Amino acid sequence: MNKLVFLSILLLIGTVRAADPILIIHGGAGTITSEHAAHKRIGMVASIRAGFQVLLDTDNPMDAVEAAIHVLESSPAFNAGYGSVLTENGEIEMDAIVINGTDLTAGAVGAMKHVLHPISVARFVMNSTEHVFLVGEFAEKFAESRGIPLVPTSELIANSTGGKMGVKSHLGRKIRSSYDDVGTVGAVAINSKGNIVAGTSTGGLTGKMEGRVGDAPLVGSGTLADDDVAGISATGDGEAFIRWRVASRVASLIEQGVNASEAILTVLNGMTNKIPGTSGGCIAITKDGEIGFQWNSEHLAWAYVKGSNMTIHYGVEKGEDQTTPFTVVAS
Amino acid sequence: MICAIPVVNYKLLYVRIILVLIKMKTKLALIVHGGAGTVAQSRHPQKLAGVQQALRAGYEVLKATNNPVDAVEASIKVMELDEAFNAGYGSMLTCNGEVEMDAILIRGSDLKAGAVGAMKNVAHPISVCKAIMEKTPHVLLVGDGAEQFAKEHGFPVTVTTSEQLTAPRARNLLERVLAKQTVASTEASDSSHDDAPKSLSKGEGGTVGAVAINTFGEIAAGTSTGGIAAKLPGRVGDTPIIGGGTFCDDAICGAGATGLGEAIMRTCVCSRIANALEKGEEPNQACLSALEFMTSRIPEGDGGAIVLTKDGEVGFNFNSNQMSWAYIKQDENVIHYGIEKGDDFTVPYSDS
Repeated sequence: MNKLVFLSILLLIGTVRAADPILIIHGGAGTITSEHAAHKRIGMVASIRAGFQVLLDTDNPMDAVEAAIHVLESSPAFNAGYGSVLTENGEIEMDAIVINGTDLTAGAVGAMKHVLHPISVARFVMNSTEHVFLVGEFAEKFAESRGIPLVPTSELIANSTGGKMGVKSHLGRKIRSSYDDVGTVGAVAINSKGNIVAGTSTGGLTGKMEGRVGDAPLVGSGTLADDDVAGISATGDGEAFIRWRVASRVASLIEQGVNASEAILTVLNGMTNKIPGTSGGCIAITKDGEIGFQWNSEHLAWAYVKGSNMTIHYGVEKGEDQTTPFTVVAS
Repeated sequence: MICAIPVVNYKLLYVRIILVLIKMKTKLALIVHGGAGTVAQSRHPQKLAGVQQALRAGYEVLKATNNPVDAVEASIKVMELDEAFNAGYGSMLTCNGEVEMDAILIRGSDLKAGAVGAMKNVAHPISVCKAIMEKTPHVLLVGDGAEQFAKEHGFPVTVTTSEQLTAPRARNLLERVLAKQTVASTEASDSSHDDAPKSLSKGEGGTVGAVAINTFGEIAAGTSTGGIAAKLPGRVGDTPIIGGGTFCDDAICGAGATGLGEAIMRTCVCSRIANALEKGEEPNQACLSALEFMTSRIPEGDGGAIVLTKDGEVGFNFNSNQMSWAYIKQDENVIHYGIEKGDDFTVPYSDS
């Protein structure tokens, strides 16, 4: 009884944020063919199940984000880890980031090769170094030093997306996102205490130059997390997202009280207006547990589940909102 | 003898002059910094001389061309050659004893940018950034890819460049930092002569930056750095991250930050400066608010920042111990410079 009184008082004072655990994920924005969309829906549901189970079991949003992204990195249907697109040299170079909204610690990797789960390397950067961002050859060596097995690029190439840029393109560098590129993956989780984590993982742009890093691993561009504001993960034309600082702008609007989905659409449309020919999508969870997801590309693969509701929502097409119950796996 | 009298279309000329005058909304201004941190007294003269020299070089270009991108590049190139600063030659070394540099150049009119991270063997990272901005569809290139790009675009790249970029002082400092990291903390150190940081954060700094605005209100911002002493190879800091260490948008301002890179990145310092200006904060205060937010969330992080607003107002501030800086405004024609809190030395600007 005393415990109840004490908790009530704490809640009233506001020192204990009682929040609904929520996980939201995305699997890329762009033009997704209906064949690819079917694979994406399967991937979205599998990922959200894995991630949300972890969130319920551990109340640890970092573990939940990593688990959700692992599923997508392992799936050939997404441009992350296995299934990543190829650089102009026929290589796979990946970017990833994870941000802890409570203390703003972050770990990120850029243009890193030979690793199936870049999100896990990003987490190691955060937890076991004084740095935030490691790139290139040393990111790979660092992964190995932390016990992560290195794999040859051939093992990361999935038939459905790979092989298209196997050699340096004679047509010149492909600069626009094509449907091949769709599939940067991201996740945002909030736990029962209001702690927020955001993560993003990607193989980047098809035919990109060696060493090219996109928006995903740059704080404020593709990803952001701050318990006082929101967690955000974005996807689309990377260079435009860097130049427009999409995640930062979405966070600013949310801080000003704008509804999360509305904030996202405003920022994306502003980007397209300033940098014509670009587009993308974005997901968010605000500090108050409001979710947002929107896109101004043709499609965005997305899914979310809330603890208060236990129903998985997911979709790819505009206006699509499919549901399936989330069933807790007894441990 | 018949003199040919040129037929002048006065109407067209008049219209052209009016159009140019309409476009001209600001006076020229240029501000540079040579890094925020704890700078030993013995290093002050070369820092002060260095920022002035960089400012003059950039301002000459700005006056001659009205091109803020070229002006920023010119200022930063001077500092990349100057051993006094942690950029290009004089860069801090990685824990493996190599020079790896980050840099960025942003054009505020169309938000185009070029940036490099952990790039080796190139003397002028800022110029490579300009080439990335103008010649590729990308923004950020890192590591070997950045070096390869530089090579393909005619920049001199040789393995010996890395040795040429290594200043004796940087090597000395690395040895002392590595020694400190292994020596027990009971050793007393004389802080007045000892500029080797005990942890990654409390060093001299020395990242360099510049922001320029032309008469059309077009802004450019650039930053260049060797990063923190004894960093891991492959470590990229805040410098090449738009909204982190550098920012530029003709609609708001151009800004550059310096200090503990990880802290600047994690709190998006330059985005905060831009947001503060939009809320109506005065430029010096906008810089300070952003830095104080950073330090409040990340106590081991401090630093400094410079800004030029869309109206050509100058601002700078630092919550570290020192920051070398210099600026000039066309309407004053006086070089202001300093390094300690409260410094405002001046020297009239005269064309060379």
